Amino acid sequence: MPNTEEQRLDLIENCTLLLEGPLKPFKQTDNTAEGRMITQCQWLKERAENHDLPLPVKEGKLGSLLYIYTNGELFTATSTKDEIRRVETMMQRIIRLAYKGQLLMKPPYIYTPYALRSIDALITVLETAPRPLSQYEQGLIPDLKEIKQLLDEGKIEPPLGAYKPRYPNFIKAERSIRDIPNGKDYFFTVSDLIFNGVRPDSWLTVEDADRDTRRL
Amino acid sequence: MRSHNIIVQDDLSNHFRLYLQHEALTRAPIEPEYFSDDVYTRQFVSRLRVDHQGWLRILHLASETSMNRHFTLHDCWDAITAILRRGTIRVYRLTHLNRHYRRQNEKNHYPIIDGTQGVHYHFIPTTALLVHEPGETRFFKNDPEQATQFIQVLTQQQALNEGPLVSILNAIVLKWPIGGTQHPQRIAALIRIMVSGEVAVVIDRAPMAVPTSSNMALSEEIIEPKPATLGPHEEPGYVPKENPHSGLHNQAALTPDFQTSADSFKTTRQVDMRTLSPEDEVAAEALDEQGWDKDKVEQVLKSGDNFTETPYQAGDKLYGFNTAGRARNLDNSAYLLDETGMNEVQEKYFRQGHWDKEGVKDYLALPCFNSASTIDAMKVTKPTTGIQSTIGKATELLRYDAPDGYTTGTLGKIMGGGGRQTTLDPSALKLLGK
Repeated sequence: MPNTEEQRLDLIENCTLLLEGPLKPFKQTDNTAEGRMITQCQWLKERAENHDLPLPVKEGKLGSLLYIYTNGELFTATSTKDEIRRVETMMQRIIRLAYKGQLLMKPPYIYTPYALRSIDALITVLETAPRPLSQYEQGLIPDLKEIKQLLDEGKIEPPLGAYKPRYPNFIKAERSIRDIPNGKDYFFTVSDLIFNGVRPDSWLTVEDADRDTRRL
Repeated sequence: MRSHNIIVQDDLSNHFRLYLQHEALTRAPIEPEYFSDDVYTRQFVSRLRVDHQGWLRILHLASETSMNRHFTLHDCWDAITAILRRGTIRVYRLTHLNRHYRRQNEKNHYPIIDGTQGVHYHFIPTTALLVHEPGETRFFKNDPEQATQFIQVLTQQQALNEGPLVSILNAIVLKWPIGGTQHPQRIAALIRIMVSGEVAVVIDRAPMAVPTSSNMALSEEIIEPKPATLGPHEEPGYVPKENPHSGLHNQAALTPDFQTSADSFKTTRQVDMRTLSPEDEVAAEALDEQGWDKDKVEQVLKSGDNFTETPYQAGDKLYGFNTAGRARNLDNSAYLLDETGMNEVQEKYFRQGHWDKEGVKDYLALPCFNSASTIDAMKVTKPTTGIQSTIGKATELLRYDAPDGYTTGTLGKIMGGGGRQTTLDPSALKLLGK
């Protein structure tokens, strides 16, 4: 599992974005979700700044973040969809960095060409499958082509987690595709890149990503 | 059939007239309170300042008691809740009564306009008719033509000149201020409140029998307020009584405080998203389809077990405990309670007129920042399938501090869980109440 300078800086950046943005009007206290999130972000940020935060961070240290994120505790009835998406993306990136120890598939899309190769590889896996495809697996192929085009044109920005229901074939094919050679690995790589906003652990650098995807 | 004139009061000094099934309802154009679900009805009932004996008396009058059954206070609340839900007792809000109680010592009477041929017109708040209903009464709700015509006649009779007009407007408790001080503006204001239904006119052609502030308090049937308030914690002006339940979270003077550490809430169930059990796979797929991202799906799976699918219809209610003053956003709440789940919590943890918040937090495994001091309600807007699970254990490290410097020190807390939580497609939900 990677534990890189890039992750450390990404973690500091996303904690700062939360602390200086949506959490700025609130005070640090345990009585409120916002106050608790301030404690959480400050703790992560200070340790990351002091080079004292091995990844992944123990789950017991991230309980507030995970609960507040899952139950939408930072948002009120007046929160807009854009605001929710923006804040959730920051929180999800912290979760993926700190809780999972993963590498972000982040702007300015320097990893996009390699994500496109990965999508092509999954399409090929499906088109050359040794058994007839289910209706969902068949439906996944045009979905993948659409996502590839949107990503290439910069019209979508990972993570697209909450948008998964727009691609029901992605949900239905997740289990069935596992018996197709390379199906599971390629599927999860693409799913992570697009819906979870993270890249494979082996893509430490652009060169690594290029090497890993050139022969797919 | 005798009218009982039962008037009760809630902890915010709102008065309500209860009509039993056999009593003739008022002729006044007033809508009774609407009780759409059990939880809100139960909350309404528990906030009424009626003691055990008072409820027993009402149940007796409603023919709901039995020689073979002993009704505890909670049994009374349950029975009254059921009665209100099925409409056997109807409840009307007396919007003006409180003001007139306060004016009782001033011997205030509603204004009387003397018409021609010995006819007298009494302008009264319409809700006064819930207490005492005289014979000939005119209502003008939603009828501006009749109201204007009526006022024109009084004006032509020179019965409604400036003095009586001002006395009427001053005596009626208005929901809005009168714009202007000129006679035509006052006439317009009077017509407006007549048309709104706020005011009715009792026409007296014989010896007087109209309600006054002194005879509105029909003490024989007024159910005496009980001494302790049960009100919701977020209401303005509410002063919380001492919570009788044990547990640090039930102590009003103590607040959770643990500002220096990230150690906090965590669930205990371990889940590997790439090697899920077949049961968890089914739940995860259903949660995916509801629109939750993988990180939230993982947390929902870790927070409970025994996942089942439960269908919901449009109109069903979902609930969530929350901290008073926060308006929950539906798009993001993964941990909810359905009506059954909420009733279970209420049966277990609403006792002696107080929520046992420590118990609620333990049963629902709520983290320190959720004070369980209010309940959000949501309505299902379209047929949908929810994912239910039994809430698992969770642990938390925290400290409680008091303003005087007392501190519990750091405590390890284990919350047993056990409640049934529901996760629903957020696009099928709409916020109720707040």
